[in-house]
Amino acid sequence: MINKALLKEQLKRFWIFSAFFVVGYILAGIVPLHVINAPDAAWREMSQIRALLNILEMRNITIVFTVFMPFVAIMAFYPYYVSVRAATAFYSFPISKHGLFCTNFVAALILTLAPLLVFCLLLLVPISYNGPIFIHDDWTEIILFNPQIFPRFYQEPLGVINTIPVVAGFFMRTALGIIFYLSVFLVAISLSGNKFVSMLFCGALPLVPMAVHGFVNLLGNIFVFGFDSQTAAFRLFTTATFTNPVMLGEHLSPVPVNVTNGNWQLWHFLLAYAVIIVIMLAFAYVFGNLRKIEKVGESVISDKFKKVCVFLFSFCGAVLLAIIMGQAFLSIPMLYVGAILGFLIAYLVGQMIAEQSFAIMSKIKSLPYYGGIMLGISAAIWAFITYGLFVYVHTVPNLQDIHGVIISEQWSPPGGELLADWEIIDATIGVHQQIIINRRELVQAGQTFEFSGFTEHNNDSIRITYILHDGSELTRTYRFGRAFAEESGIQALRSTPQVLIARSWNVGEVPEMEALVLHLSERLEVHDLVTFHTTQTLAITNPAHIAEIVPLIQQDWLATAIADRNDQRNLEEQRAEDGVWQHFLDISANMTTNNQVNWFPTLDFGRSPLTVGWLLEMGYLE
Amino acid sequence: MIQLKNVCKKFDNHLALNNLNLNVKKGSIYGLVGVNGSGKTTAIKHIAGVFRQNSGQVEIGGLPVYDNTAIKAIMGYIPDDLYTFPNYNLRGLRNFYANLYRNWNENRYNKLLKLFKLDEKRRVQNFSKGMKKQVAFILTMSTMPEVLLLDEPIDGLDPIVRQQVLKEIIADVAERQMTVLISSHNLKELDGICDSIGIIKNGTMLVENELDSLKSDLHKIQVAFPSENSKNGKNGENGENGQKIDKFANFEILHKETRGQIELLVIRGNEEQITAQISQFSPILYDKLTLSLEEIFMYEYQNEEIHNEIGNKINLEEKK
Repeated sequence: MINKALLKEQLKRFWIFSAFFVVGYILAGIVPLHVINAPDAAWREMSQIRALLNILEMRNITIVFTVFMPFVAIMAFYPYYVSVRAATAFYSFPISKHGLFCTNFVAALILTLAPLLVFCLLLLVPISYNGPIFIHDDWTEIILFNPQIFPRFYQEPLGVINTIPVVAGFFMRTALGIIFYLSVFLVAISLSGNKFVSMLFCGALPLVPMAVHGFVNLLGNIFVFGFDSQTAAFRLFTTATFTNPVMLGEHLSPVPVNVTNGNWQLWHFLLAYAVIIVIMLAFAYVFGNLRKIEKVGESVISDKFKKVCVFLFSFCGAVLLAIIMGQAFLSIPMLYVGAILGFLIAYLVGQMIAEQSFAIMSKIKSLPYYGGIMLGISAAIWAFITYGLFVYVHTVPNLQDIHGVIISEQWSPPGGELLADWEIIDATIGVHQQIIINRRELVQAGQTFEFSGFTEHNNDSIRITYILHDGSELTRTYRFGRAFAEESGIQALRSTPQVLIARSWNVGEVPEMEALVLHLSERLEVHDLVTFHTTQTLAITNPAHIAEIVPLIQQDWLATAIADRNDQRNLEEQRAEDGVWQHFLDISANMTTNNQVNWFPTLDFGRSPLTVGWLLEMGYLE
Repeated sequence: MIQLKNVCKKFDNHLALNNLNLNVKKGSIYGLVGVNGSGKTTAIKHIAGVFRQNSGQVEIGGLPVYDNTAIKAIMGYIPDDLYTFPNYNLRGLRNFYANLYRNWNENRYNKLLKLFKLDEKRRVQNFSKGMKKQVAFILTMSTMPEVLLLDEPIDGLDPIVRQQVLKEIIADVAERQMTVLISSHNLKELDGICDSIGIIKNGTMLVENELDSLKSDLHKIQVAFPSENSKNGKNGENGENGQKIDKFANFEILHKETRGQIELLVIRGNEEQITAQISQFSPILYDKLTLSLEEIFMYEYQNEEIHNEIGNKINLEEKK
């Protein structure tokens, strides 16, 4: 299966690329951990931790290597897919087609994973030098990309043991990402016969899931809400994050990614990666075997697939120009004009690329055929949007049809307690109708990504899920400004105790516990850097004491939550002050039962008078 | 050793090989000739296992070639347009070939390297076209192939190198019974080394035979007949009964040229019979000239085209 001579040669030819990426990883990943311009040691330490977490959370520029390395590897190791001379040489060697495919893939694998491995080993050095990393569950923004793979039960003192799994988890996730892109680019290059088109395919194929998602979302938004407040550009901090379906799914997933109970949810995504990788590799292998060498040099290896590609290219051109012209003129008719023009232009350009020639007048005959298909699809989309076929319904349900509602925010874990109180339901319907009526003021859902680091301070969101009497579910997510949240009654709705409690983990219904472990932490914040240092741990195992303190924690939490809701802007303004060293004391609680850990929401020490008072009175605190 | 049986290959709408039959005996040198676009390179690529035929069989030693690593391990192929790993020097390529081919012969490699005087450390991509062909030759011959396929290998080589290459090939054929298939437009050179010739046209084998048999089958003669014979009607335009006498009846004439009284002809047939027939007409000049491979090629091609033209005319008349 693997030809040793070829493998050895390929590794020898391209080791320099691996070395280059190792240097890249060091410069982009390791050096920033040590070259920090900070006014004092605490800030420096926090910045280092932040930089390290950025790497582990895949928010560092090194994520680009996850895409770039596989691209370079595939273009380097499979030249015989796109070069006639290379094809003649490789297929005349005493290596089977199967052997060529497998050997080159293994070589690509080794040369792309080796730099990552070196990088991960190097990462352990600053971690060992600086001390262990504690992944505090209050850092909700990192939960989305929780770097921990292996379950842990104690936060400390097993810091070093936590650290190695963290880096190992990062290696595993990133390695899967690299293998994913290797398989995607292999499919792309096996469909094409020349370098230029293969690079086009490599660029386009990973964007398909995001493009489909964006297209469906955008169409719905345009036809439901109109053009105002549209933000046509996606702000992507890490392009890699959104160029594969698994990470996009993780972002959009209804599955809670708060992994306080053992990280097992992340395995779903890793399994999805693995399955997609296997499918892609199978496709690439089949295409590689079926492709005829005489097609090398042509744009696409199959004539039928060439027609499909031309159509898809024309379709994308139609959508793009439709959006541009619709946005520019804020008009649906101009959107249609843009679609027609875009289709025509993209069709001609697509044929030129497919035929590798400017002489494509003979292809004009096929235009009505492609145009007919385009019209059919457009009519289907129009009917879907206009008449709310199948799924997309933008009306508000009637009160009598609703069994209950679940209210959350766009970035919070979905799910939560169902609210069946009719006053809450009525208020929710009222808020929803306000959103529809005032849709021009809305920023459309899904077009800006908060964790990108470019958060707009005025952004707010709500996610409403209706559970109807017939058992069906309807979920709508909206983004809007803070002022609208107050004027429309959204803020008031979210500040009601029932809604606050329903949205919180374990506040409403506290699970049974054998022990309540309180960690008193010192939280330091400057800019958006946060670090925790646990100063004291208290364990309460007396059931009577647990029964006394839990309601106090609930009350303190609720009071703080309501105050924070009403005072969100002030809190954010405080946070936004540059250079101000903010010092908080937090209480976080672990409720443990049979080695299962349940987290209780963190309390602000300074704003938890009932809990702190009780701890002092009972002698747990001095 | 090498056999193509009714091989067909179509590229889109173009039939590149049309029921091609080709047979190369073990230990012989086979010259494959044809005009540009006749299918030589396509045929060779099928034998090299690069292309897969649409129908028919391509075999070496009775075994199918396509995707057969065992056959490719004993086969050497030098294409017209060479590919080498970018930024590699000859030494690097040598290491790759030595690992890839189990029959690699280091002594052979060193000997050829010395013979062609190439710099092992210089990048191959900086070599001239001729030097690149030398590189290909050194590497391929050092793998000690049992079957050698050469697609216009000596075009672009200087005469000295060309002679060295041909000498090595002939030596291997003699010593190791290596089977060689060589395509070239340089028919003069092929004339000197080939045992068999195949003339391919429009993807079909026009003529395939041993070179000696080909030459013995075709004769180029120069003949002149006395002018009084034509008055007597013995060998002139009119015979005794006024009928036209064909001096070369029963023989296929591939080419005829008249220069005054002298006629230059290329005739297919038995030499003795031809001589006997011509003698009846008491020629004043009768010379048998040497026929080169180039001339054989040209006359066979022209003859085929004339036959096709005649065939087309007959078909048209029948339709009328």
